[in-house]
Amino acid sequence: MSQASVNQRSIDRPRRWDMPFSQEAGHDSVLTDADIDSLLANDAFSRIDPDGFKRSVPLREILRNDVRLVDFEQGDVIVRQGDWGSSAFFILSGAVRVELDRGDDASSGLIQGRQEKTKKTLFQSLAQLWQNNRHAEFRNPDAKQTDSGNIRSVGGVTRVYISDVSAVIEKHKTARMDAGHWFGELAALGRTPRVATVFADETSTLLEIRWQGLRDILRFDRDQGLKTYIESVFRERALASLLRTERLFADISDQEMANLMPHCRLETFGEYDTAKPFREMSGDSVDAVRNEPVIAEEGDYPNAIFLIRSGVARLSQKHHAGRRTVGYLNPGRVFGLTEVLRGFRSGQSTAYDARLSAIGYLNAVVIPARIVEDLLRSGAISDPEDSCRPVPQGARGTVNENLLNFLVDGKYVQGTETMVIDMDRCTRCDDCVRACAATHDNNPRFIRHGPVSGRHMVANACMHCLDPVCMIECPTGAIHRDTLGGLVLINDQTCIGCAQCASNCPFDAIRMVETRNAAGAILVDSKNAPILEATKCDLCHDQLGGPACQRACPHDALERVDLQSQSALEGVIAR
Amino acid sequence: MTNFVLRRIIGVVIVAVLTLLLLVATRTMESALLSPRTWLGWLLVVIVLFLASYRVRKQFSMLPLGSSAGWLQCHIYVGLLSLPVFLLHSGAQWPGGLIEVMTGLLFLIVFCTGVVGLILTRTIPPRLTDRGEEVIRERIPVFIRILREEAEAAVAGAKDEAPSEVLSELYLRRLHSFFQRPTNFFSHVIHSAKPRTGLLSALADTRRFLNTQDEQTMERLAECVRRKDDLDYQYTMQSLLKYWLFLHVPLTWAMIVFASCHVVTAMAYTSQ
Repeated sequence: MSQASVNQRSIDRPRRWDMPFSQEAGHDSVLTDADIDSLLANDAFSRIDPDGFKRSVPLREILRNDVRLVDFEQGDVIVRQGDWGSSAFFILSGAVRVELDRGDDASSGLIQGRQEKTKKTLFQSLAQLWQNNRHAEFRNPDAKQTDSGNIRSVGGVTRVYISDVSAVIEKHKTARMDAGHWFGELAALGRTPRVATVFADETSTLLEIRWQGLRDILRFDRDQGLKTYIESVFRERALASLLRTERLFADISDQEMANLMPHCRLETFGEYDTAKPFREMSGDSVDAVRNEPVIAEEGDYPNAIFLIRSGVARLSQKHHAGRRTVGYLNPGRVFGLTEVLRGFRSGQSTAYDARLSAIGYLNAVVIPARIVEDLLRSGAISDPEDSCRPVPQGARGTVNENLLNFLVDGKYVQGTETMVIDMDRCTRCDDCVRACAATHDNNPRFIRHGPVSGRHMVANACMHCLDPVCMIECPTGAIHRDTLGGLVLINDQTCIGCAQCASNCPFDAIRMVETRNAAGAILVDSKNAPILEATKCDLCHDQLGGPACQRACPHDALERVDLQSQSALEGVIAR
Repeated sequence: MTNFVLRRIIGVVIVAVLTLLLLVATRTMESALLSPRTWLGWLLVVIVLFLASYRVRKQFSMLPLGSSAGWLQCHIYVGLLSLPVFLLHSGAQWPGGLIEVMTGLLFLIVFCTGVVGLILTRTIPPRLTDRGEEVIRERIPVFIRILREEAEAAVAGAKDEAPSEVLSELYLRRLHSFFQRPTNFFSHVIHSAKPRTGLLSALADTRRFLNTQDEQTMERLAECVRRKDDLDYQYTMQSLLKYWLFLHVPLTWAMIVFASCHVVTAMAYTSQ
């Protein structure tokens, strides 16, 4: 083969910093050397020793590639409550306000471009019989909120803003943050939802940093100043309540909790370098198991327990020359406690029963085993006699091992409302599809097709993931998580059809559709390009009675399953 | 014991107990020189209307009317109960008169199609899962077209190769019609592999006349035949799952029409 033909076919191998953060998603500013010098002189970075960084990941390059400077006008919404975080912010100048009315849907809806969640009345439900549109994907162009004045475009970036800041401040409880403060770092590192909406209180310049850059700074900063700051914020705001979710620490006294917290470490494992991690990880499932970052190795001394904060982990055991999956752990689950307790009870040395590895990435609180043992010895916590590993399945459970591998390798364990169809009962009657269409203006929001393992199919319907990567980078917040039920929903009125969510969804569960007017004509913009909108399953959140697909299945074949719940999964399998 | 098996046992026991109670009640009334046929007739009317309402429930999937699966369970067991009620009502005798004969005949046909449908819906899905790739029925003609193009391309050979005459002749004689549309419906209904075996044998028999390259083409054709046969099987079985309803549902409405006439005439004669 000639060199010329090789050159013709070859492309540059994609690298981490091919696309600097400052040029992503409509941003086109480039950080100059002067900008970087200025940042390095700022208090946020001045104490960081650049010599501690690896030569391949120098601090200067992290700032150049993982950071962007963003200007906000007064009222511009910076982050919205419920959005999935993938970056953190540092206020360089100006000030922002944090909305403190958390969980108040009515107030949040005013400034987030979200949809007000209401259920249809009985008559409205019935009226769908004759009110559903004859044409597919009908939209009322007048209902678009883009005309209402709270969305604007800044250099190619769409931004939601509050038109009357003073009225919002007067009406809602807010707190002001001035220059020199970080925010959004916990959501970014943990890839958890933003807990509050933040908007610019005055014209402000913010430094926004990708979580990967933040992670590297935390990793290589010898001074550990930023890490100490973030961990102190985490301990102050979230750690105690997170620890109390574990039964072992539920009844611990405040004093003992205060003693425990300094020993806990917040750690992120794995590589999650793009918004499309599952697609990049797709391929041979055997290789996937081999290549997953190992957090704790089977057979090692259990020197810590891991309380998972976000992400999903695989439990696997050695089986001949390979490894077999025996379960998975999701947020709120603990690894290592069984072994630590066993060692404590017997007084003998024990080992981890299984390997814990990150499926993609994992954010966990690591608690040293000796601290747990000390607490047990002092009686600060009691030994739960009936403790066992939370999700032991596969080889020892009722869930078929092949099915477990299928669900974990395909990352379907992310699903909280996964559509699982028992193909041995499904008569392919499509009543589910018709019911879906009947409740969505004659537009079915899923496809009764998908990957099959044994007799179970995971249909092509939104699974309302635990970690909905589809929400990352939605410019208007149109795709959002319902704060009460945790459903991932799209607001038709604020969706601008950018397709970011559809391209991020690892399961192709979001479809971009051409919208139509009442006459059936495709809606177009001034350049004659069709107006697209993202559509997907909304789990019939506005319908009486729950998901129409499940209710319409005559043969109990279709179930929406929360794969975070072992009993729910077993309930479907063991019927 | 799975939930479904337990559910089935409970349903059958309930139907058996209700049948027994109906029998006892009928005999008791008869021994008291009362005629149970009228109230059995009205019971049958209520049962038939309830059974027919399942179709209406399906049209109102947007309303919180309970799960379709729950309705179907009731439909099945109330449907089973309808047979003893019918037999008790008719006195297990074949009725006289056109309306009564038509009503009785239609009732039995609807009952039988219901039982057949129940058997089909419980036996075909596992077979579909076991054989061939899962496909949506409406998409099968598209997949057949793709297979046809693949098979024709194989027979036509590469651009600079002469097509094998043996394979071309066999394709025109045996395979051309096979790849046109879903075929061998009734063979698949009775799970006969004869057409598939016949075509594969015909292809294998050409091996002695083929060179190495044509043998590869023959193997590709054989693979296309297997995949097409699997598609035909999927098409047949999925069609069966749909077609039985084309008998069961329209005949139900026809039966309701005749049953209404029967009720009117029966009431008219009773009142005289």
